[in-house]
Amino acid sequence: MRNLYFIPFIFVVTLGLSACATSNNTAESVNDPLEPFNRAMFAVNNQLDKFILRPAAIVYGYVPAPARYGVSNALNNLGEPLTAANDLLQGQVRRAGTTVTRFGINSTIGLLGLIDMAEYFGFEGHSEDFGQTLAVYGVGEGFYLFLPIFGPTSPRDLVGELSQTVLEDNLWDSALDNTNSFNTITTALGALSDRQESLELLDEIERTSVDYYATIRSFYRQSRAAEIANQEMDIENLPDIDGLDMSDLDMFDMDMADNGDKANMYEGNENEAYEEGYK
Amino acid sequence: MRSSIAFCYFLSAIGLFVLLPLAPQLGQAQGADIINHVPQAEAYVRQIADEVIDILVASDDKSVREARFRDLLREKADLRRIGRFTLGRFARTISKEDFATYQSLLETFIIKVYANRLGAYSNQKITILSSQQKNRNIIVKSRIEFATGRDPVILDWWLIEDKPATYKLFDVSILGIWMAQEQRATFLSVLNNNQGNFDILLNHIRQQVENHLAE
Repeated sequence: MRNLYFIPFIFVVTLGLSACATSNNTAESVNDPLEPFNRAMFAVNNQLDKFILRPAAIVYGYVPAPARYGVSNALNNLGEPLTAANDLLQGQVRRAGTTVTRFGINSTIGLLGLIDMAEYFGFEGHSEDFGQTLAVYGVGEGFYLFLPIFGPTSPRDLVGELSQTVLEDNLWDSALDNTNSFNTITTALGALSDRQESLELLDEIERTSVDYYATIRSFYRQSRAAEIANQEMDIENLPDIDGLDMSDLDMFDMDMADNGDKANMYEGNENEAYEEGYK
Repeated sequence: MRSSIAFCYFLSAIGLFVLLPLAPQLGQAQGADIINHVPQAEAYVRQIADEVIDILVASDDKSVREARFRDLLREKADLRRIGRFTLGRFARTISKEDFATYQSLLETFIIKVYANRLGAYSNQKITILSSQQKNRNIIVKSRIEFATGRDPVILDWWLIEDKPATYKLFDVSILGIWMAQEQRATFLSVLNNNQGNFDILLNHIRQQVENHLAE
């Protein structure tokens, strides 16, 4: 149970960072005030990916699919306790129950998570993390950040991810011996598995993007917003696009006057991203 | 393992007794102007989905596939609205001629990019799950199930009601990522980083289209 004193500190730092980040939002239309730095880190990351992770993922792709699915399932299973904790912290008691049930089934008759027997019994999996919990409690996403290895993130999600790592370390430290090796192996396998699964998609996106960096930024923000909303689309938050069908281009405008809340869904940025094109 | 279980109880206790009362109200009551089932819109999406799958499965010839995809797009999608949306505020500053050029390029770009991306979803089963309408906006939720055993994917369709029970497709979201939104973010990034020079954006799009033609 080492390092748990770190948790209150994380809360304070997150709230502080998000407050700072939010204050910057109006100054930057895409909420990416560090864009030159982020683009440089993106280029570094692409080189690391090109020469290390991507080739490793291609080799990993030669492992028979059932074995890869087994690894992926087992890694997902290891994340279930913290998903359950985050479900509860978000007030999603029913989803927490599903997660705990999945963990119980898959850890036993699912052979330590290698086989997703829970899904067979109708308990579909989902993932929650500390960044999502902070978002549910109203902590703003903050500015966009791209870091080598970490990839796309934000102050809120970065702090969430770091705290999640600390919690996972403590969780499995208490359950297993030789935790450092265990955590290193699971982290490396997770990165390899995720990269292998996204090989075709990322290649296709890179090949078809007019601006690969901006595309990844948009993908990240939208997918995070969808995860926070548990993949439930809220029609109430759709932006007003009625003004877009006016026949005279010169008259074209969007009604931005009452669209403050509607910005939340668009671009996946809770603050102001919708004004990206309309400032 | 005992201490890890205790740890989970510890977190659960925090959730239940300390933070739960502070949790925001999830799943708030919906406004009265939301219609929860729109059969005509669901049928419209069903029709588009069936046609897309038919194109992807039946047409091996790339040019035939793209021609059919273009016809479908022109018939079912609100391309003009998509064009304006993806340009953001710049749609107000460019000439009608530039917009017409952009619109034509965008159409080709969409066909070439998404015909490729949609290739991964060919020959799969699409199930319509639900639909909601607020004013002229309709969201139809569907699920793609893969014969390979891969996890199902949620696909949302955003329709605009032109006239009563007459629809046009505005955007598609795969796993929560809206495609028009993605293009808009990318195009605006190019424009913002080039002092709004519209020719540079047009050249970027042309380059992408030519890359696909060269394949």
